[in-house]
Amino acid sequence: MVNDEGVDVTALTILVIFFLIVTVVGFAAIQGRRGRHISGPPRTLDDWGLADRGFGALSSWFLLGGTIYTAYTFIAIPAAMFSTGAVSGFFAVPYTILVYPLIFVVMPRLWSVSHRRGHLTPADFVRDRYQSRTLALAVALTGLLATLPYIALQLVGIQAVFEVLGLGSGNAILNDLPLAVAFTVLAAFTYVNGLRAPALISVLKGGLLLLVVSVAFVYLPYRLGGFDAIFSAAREKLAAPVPGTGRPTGVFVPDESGFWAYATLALGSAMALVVYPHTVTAVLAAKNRDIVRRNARTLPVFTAVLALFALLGFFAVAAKIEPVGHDGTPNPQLVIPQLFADLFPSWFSGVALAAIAISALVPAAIMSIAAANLVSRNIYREFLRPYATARQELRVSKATSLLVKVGALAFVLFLDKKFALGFQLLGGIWILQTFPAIVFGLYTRWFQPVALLAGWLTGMVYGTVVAYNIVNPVTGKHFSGSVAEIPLLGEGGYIALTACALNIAVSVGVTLLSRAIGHPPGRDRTSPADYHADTGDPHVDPIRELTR
Amino acid sequence: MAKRTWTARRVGAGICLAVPVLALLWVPWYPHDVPQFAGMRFFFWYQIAWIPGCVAFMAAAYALRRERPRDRSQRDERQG
Repeated sequence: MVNDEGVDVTALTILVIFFLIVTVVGFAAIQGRRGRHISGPPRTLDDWGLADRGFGALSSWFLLGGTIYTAYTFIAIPAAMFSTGAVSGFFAVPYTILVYPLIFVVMPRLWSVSHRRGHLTPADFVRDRYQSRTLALAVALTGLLATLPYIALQLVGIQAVFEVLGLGSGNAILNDLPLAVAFTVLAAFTYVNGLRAPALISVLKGGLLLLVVSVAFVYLPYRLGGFDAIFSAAREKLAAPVPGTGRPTGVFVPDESGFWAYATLALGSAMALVVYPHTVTAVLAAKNRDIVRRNARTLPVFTAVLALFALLGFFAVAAKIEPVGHDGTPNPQLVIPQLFADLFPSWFSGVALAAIAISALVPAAIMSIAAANLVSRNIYREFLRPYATARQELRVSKATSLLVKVGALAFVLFLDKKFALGFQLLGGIWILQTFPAIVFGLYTRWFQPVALLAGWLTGMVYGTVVAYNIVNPVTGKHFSGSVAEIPLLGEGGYIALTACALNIAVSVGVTLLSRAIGHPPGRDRTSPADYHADTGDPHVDPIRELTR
Repeated sequence: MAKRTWTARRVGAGICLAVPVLALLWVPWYPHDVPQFAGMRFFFWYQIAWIPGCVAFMAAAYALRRERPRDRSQRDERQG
């Protein structure tokens, strides 16, 4: 049912119902602390920001899944498939498969040392491992810079859903009202309940996504004439030349020139995901070390959902979906919401759009918590108030979680959305530059902190400059791609990974140099046994003066 | 469990984890149209097939690394 102003009332009603469920669940989440004999709101940062490191296997599974698969993957990946094809879209499938062997190997060590030493953020670990405040600050600031645009893009995802529903076509204030309402709900339950709220909502998210994608895959191939017709339509569209440049629109299946790009995009993104602060937050909330591996083992199930969503981009080509925004210009980001709105009855498109919107809320909440912990732990307590009490720390974290969300909202409302996309792309490049310090640091203390800092700076500068130089030939905009030629190799590759290789080379070089001139290696507050510690091991309890 | 068996199991687990990674990173293996599966081009279903593939290999790796011999005696003591 569509009213006079082009708003689909049935779908909107269903969306509102789901939002109400989310609100109730989000506020009720704190009731789940059974057996702990605690009541009332969280009182420490460990409680608010990591749910007291107490999530069992199932909660952790949904939390990590809900964190990794953001709304952005369900909107932007199919949009990329729709408009430019496999290299910029389908690489997300190998990416979200590769990440699990990596998590399986790396994360148990990070979990153990963090549990033993009371670390809350990746920068906490770096601080203890290298005894370098500068390096820890670099890691914290990079994490913040990379997370902010990521939160903004979750809001862009919610906005896409509202736009397709027909909301926001009215005057300027009403335009952004739905987004502001969704945002307020999100901010409020995160503020009150911390990590427990998104954890509980991620169960709803997982269930809804599975339902929506199964229905779409049973019904749509039948309606669109089978997979063969769908893939042929996609191939035809992507091979058609763009008027103006004469080059093909996109890549259906990568040919030899795209092999390196495809592999480096998948690997680089997987490596980046491991060091994103929000992934670390979701991992550290697990109750014991074994859960981390057990869940990595089965989480690829979500990748199946992602792969099917990616293929929906091709379905949209076959269905001749025309995603056009309110301003009348084509906007491929709207393609998935539009596909559901066009091809399904109102009530089901309401469910599908709600699934996408909820997919945005969960990671946005977790990212804001991760960013807030970086600020309160690694900036506030480290530099501003070294003797902050648990209460002060918690207050700063809660306030920051609001602040970063307001920042993200302002970003989306007042700046060009294209700018958010470019910034997010840079975020991926930047965050990967913390990989050597964090992941190599889990295995060896060989690197000198000053060398890692030099490598980090080199990678940041190189990545930013190269990304800036990628100019869209049609619009003339900078930061319009993430693939550039790899020096010496001559193939196109993901900038983040090239920058990281440079980063590692500099780190190794400077370490060798600094050892050669007899520079002392510096101290290390962690001990080898920390990296294998598990809950309940004798003498292994989190050090309370750190977590307080 | 002897230390040597443990090392062998670690190597085995490492191989299990490396298989899906290599199968997906060596891109020249899969950008083809045929063989098709239910009308889906090889390129797409090959990668999708690695989702259950990766789950299976990781399950094997998990089974191999499940018990650390060093911790086992301590754990039994505590339970006992």
